[in-house]
Amino acid sequence: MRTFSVICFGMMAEWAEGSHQELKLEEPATVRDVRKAAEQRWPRIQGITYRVAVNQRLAHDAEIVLQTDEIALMPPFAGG
Amino acid sequence: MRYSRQTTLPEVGTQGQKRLADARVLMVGAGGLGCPALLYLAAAGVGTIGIIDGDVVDVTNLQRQVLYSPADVGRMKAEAAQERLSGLNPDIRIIPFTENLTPANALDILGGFDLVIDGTDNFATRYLLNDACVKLGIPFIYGAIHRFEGQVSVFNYNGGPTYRCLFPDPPAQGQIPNCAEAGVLGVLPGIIGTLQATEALKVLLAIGRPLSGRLWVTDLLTNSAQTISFGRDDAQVTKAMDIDLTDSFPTSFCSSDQTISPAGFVARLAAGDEFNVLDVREYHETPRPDLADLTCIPLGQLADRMDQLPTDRPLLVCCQHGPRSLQAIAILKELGFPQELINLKGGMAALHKQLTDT
Repeated sequence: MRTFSVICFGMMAEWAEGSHQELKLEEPATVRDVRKAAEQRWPRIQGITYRVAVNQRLAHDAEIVLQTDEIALMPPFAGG
Repeated sequence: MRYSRQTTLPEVGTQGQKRLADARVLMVGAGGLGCPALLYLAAAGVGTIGIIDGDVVDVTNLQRQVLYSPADVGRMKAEAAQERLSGLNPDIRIIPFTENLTPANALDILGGFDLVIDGTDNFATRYLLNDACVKLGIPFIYGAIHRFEGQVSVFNYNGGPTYRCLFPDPPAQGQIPNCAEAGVLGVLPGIIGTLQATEALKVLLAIGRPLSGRLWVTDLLTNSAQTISFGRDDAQVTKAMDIDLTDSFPTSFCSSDQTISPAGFVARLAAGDEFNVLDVREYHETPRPDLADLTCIPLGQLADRMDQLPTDRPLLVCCQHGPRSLQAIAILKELGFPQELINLKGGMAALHKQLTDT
């Protein structure tokens, strides 16, 4: 297992209790594995709508993530 | 003379100023984002500005909705904004729409404008806006906020991505809180709304590189920002193009089977109907109307503590404004709660107002 850094935006940061988090993943890891690990660690985000960005680009679930990647969990914002 | 500081810019010039004067921009929502955006668009000489908002000015708006003064409390926002902006720039035309954007009026109203700015505070209107803009081929400047964080992007611009390309489907009701529930510091919509006005001017003047295909995200607490790039998802654009606007935001998210207004609830109590009441707000939230047969269980604890709820009468479920109570009803239904569940429309805030006004 290796440690991956994850930035949480909006409500994700509240549910994860902090915007800068770490997740342990088996390599090779995909965006889907990031989602699974995040939802296991913070069950409150299960069923929540959010996107994953890797290196400031929106990523698909099958994409591989590296330890050096900047991973962000991004929910929509409601307010206006 | 009025515009000389901007016409001096080679990127604007007298030709650019004419483009602004000929432009028709619709601001959807004259709230936290709408106020600063409108101030700068009016000052810059955008020739026609529509303002759609079915809400009235509330005293709690004044901390961030900088177009309004205490004297405006209770007035329609669209009209109060029109008056203020006309004073600021008498040379432009301002068209107020004192109604909310709905599936029934969206295409008619939006169709009269070249560019739309999203100042909405809920997902239902935002998805409706996206789908209507895609159908009509109108670009829209997106902005949204959460506590100290904000997002800005330009959607449906020159074949670029749309809101659904970013978030294909609305979150379930109650997942993501709005400003009333989450709180907001006034400067945040000030910054985000001003940035939306900036993107609007760039699109109208055809200068620079608008935030199309890029989502700008900021966190004021750390003063950090990221620009996340994303592409067009043709399936999502087709979905918006084909959808019936009444389905843009599934109504099951907006209403439960049983909803009662505060006035309706008070009337039914007076008629002798009996209810148990469940308040799913956090313990610190106010107002706390004096209600009989009340159980308080915060939403997060509801699934574990359902057995503490009485089941001898229909259960009226309440939160502060409405969204969490809908989520609570969904949870209770899923767990097989053996009684009729009724959602209190507008939540404790509306009930408190009803009880104190009468």
